Amino acid sequence: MTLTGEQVEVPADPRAFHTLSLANGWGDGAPLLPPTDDAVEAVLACTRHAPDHVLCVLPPEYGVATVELIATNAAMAGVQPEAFPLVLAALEALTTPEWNAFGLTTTTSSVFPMLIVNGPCRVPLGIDHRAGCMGGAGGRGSMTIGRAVALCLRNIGGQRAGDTSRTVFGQPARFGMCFGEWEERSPWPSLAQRRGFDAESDVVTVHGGKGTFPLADIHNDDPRDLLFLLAKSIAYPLANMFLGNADNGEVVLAVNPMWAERFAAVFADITDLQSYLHEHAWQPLDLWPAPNRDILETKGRVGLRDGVHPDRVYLAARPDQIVPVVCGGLGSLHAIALPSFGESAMQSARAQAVPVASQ
Amino acid sequence: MTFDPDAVAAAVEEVRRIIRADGGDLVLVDADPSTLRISLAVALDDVTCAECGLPPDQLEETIAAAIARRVRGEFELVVADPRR
Amino acid sequence: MDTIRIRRPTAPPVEAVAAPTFRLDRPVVGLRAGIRTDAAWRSWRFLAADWTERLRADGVAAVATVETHAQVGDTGANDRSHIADLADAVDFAIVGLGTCGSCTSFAIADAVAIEQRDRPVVAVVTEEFATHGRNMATHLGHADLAVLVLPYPLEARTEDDLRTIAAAYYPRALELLGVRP
Repeated sequence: MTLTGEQVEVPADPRAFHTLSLANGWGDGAPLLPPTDDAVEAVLACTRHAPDHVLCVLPPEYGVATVELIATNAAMAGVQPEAFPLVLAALEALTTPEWNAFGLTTTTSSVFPMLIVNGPCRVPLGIDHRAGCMGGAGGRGSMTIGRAVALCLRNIGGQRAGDTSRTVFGQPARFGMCFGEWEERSPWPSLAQRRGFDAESDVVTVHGGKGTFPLADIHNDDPRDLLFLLAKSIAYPLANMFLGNADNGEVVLAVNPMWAERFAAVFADITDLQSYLHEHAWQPLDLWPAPNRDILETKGRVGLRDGVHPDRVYLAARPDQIVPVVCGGLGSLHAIALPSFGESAMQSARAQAVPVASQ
Repeated sequence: MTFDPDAVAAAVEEVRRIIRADGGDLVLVDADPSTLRISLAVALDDVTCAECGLPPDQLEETIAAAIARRVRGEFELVVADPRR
Repeated sequence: MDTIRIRRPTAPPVEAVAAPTFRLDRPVVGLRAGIRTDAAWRSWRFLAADWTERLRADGVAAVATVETHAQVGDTGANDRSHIADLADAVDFAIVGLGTCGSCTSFAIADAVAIEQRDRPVVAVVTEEFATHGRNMATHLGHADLAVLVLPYPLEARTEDDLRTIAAAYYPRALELLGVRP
């Protein structure tokens, strides 16, 4: 295998390499693994793409992302070579025009790609989907795949907060976020299946999420009451999805397995669950101060499209914009919303793994 | 986190001895690492006094404690007990 | 100190390309003007309305306006299509407003789309996003795109303030378009 990336001589001492990486702006502040030829080649062995294949061009600086350069960043992040196809799938998905990387890599918002993984790869690759799946479980896949994508956006795309990225706060997910759906505990078809993939495929869905929004309940016995409150919670007044076009954006609702069972007892069909959530994901127009109401009226956000409920502002135009994903631990009591940037549509791509015998 | 079906079986066997002493039995129906669900069934066919021995809630706690000593991490215990 | 060799993880810098830019080199009398507003920014709508009146007073034949509402989806696609229509229907255009991260990116992209149709165009951004705007123009291959920088923030100002800003910056917009007396 011929690598063509520029070779750089660096200290072998890991602490010295960390210091150098900080000085060169190669990373996110945390220690990196040196991308030696052995490390990069091991990653490249897990894709059929040639190293010089241009997978995509990454904004905001439109850096050309060859597979070798992506593998270099994946090796730095500590990606298990077998997980490299998921990194590639994530980058394919987020460079789809409808994901709007052009806007999302430069916005003042905190938004960042949040990777949701489906398929058999979750367990062998350490994609956390149970307790602590959004932080704390420590699976190698969860901690490195998202980080590899983040490093690619930084080192290839040139996304740097305070410079090319105008993000005001950033968010913890900007280190990298990757979690799985606990498909085996979901009473519904998986996210990937709902998006048209078969159950045996390893699929990465990239959601432009602004952060993790925790929701807790210990009071409600009737699942409909709990879902009502979840709907009201995700329709918080300063949600991005109230700022612009009602047709755009999705909010992911991560539901723990215990609640999923309760909800499925009432809504065996997930589209009915989504409809129920959508039906209640609104706020009264008079919640907003008077000048805001005029703006919402002007933007066509008042009532539903057919003119019904002119006293309400709905979070989304359609039920499918509220996306339940079953994950998290067995402790119940909690859900997490991943609010949307708004002007982005989640995108999915299949990870093209290389059979072990071929490596 | 480890979920070893053999460790679950060993824990169940430990509690099974207690129930067998009262004439009953405890059957491990399933221990699924993918769902973390452990399903057991209490058999009381040969028990002369069904209300003797450990009450259902206490039995479930005993089973859970025995499993927790051998299995790290979360699991969901489902016990089918004819007395419920 | 022991050393090892690694592969550089950064992409080579993209060569800055400056696509042709266009200037009017004449008065605006008799020309068709275009202004792009953004539904997100009421302040820019106010300035655009003020400049529309000034352009008419200066003798333009017509002022066409397009308001954008979205970046993706059907609405976003329609918006980009309307920008293309605007470019075909006017002799020059003023495109705003870049006063957040993604809206600056799209304002610049829409200005570039008009410049690609050989029209004189000026992109309008606020000061906080001036560097970002110029960077985006460069990354899109239009390093010489004319960019007008307004004070920041523009929102939450009184109408009197906005009128003052409109009056002060209108001549600069014409200057960047290459308007000659």
